[in-house]
Amino acid sequence: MEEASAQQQGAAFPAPPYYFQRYTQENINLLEKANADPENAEITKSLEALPFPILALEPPPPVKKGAYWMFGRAWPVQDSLATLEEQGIEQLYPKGSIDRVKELKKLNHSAVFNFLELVHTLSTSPGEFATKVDQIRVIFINMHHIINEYRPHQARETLKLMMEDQLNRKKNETAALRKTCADLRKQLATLQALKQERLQPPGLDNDVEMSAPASSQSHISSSTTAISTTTASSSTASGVGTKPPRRLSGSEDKRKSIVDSTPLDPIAIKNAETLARMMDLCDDIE
Amino acid sequence: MDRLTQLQDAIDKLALLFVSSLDHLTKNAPLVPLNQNIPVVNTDSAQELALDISRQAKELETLIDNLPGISQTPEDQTRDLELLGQQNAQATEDYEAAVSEAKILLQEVTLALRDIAEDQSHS
Repeated sequence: MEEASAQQQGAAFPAPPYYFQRYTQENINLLEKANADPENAEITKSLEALPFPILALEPPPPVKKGAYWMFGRAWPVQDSLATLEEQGIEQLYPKGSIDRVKELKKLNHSAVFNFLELVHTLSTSPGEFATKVDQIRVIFINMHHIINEYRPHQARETLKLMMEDQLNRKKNETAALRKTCADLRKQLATLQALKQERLQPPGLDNDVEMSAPASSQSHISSSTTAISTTTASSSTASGVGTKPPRRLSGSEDKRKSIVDSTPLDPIAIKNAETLARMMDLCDDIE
Repeated sequence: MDRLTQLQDAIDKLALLFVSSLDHLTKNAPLVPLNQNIPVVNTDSAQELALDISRQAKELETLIDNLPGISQTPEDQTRDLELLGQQNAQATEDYEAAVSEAKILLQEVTLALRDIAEDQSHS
């Protein structure tokens, strides 16, 4: 196993760790039974037969303190900025709460001044550059540290902005959904009312149909195609597959002699449009 | 790009200018006349380099002035975040309720449309 891991460290696609072989169906069933019923004698006996503790099959608990290793680096569990003393650098600005702007400006000026002194030492006694270079380094590290202390604050602010954005988006979507639902309910109500009316006067519709076949034909073709496509999609979604062909052929044949769908058509067109919008919204939801 | 990163980049640029100006001076050192009769063209690189450094330091100062202040303490911020989290959970519940209502309505509408289509095919 040691040789295998040594070879894998250079491989492009290393093999999974050797304990994948432990995840047999029997072992998983044993784990479930052991979790449900920890005191059972026969389960504990079969547990001891396994060469590993049964709890090793579950994922390890998250690391709660100290540090953890990821991608070859140690990350502390509490992610905090190390103070300068911990890093071994002298802190040039006063401790406690400070006026960051003023301190940064002072550090800025002292950086440039130190550079001037560096150039002077290089021109007079070039061997002694080390102290000045080190001083400039300390100044820069201090400047960066002051700015890094802003970072956690910035991160929290960013999180707040993102959460507010999510909240607003959800509220807008809810409002849009409710509005479309209300519209659709109104359409349904008018449709129901129309259905009641339709049951009474069928004679009128004949004259209406004969007098204006040309104008209604375009309505009918658009509405039937709209209805057939939308209902085809909705009915296939609900699992009825045989309806669409019959409906399409029936509507094409009966285009010239449709009696009681003529008053329905403008409503039906609008209904089909709102249904299409509703389906888009529902697709977004899913 | 956010101001903190800009500021840190400006600091790094200043350090880079330090290094590059010293480098430039040593590599392209101004010429020294060997013979007084032969004049030497002296490029005034030192002046330009000094100008660059001082310009960068000035930019840095302007950026420092534009730093946003820390107005809220971390406790304030965590309090705001918790409040926002609760509001978000509430909004999610409302949204899911609206979605279920919409699905019910969709079924009703589908039924209605099916009725229409049946009428059309029968007539």
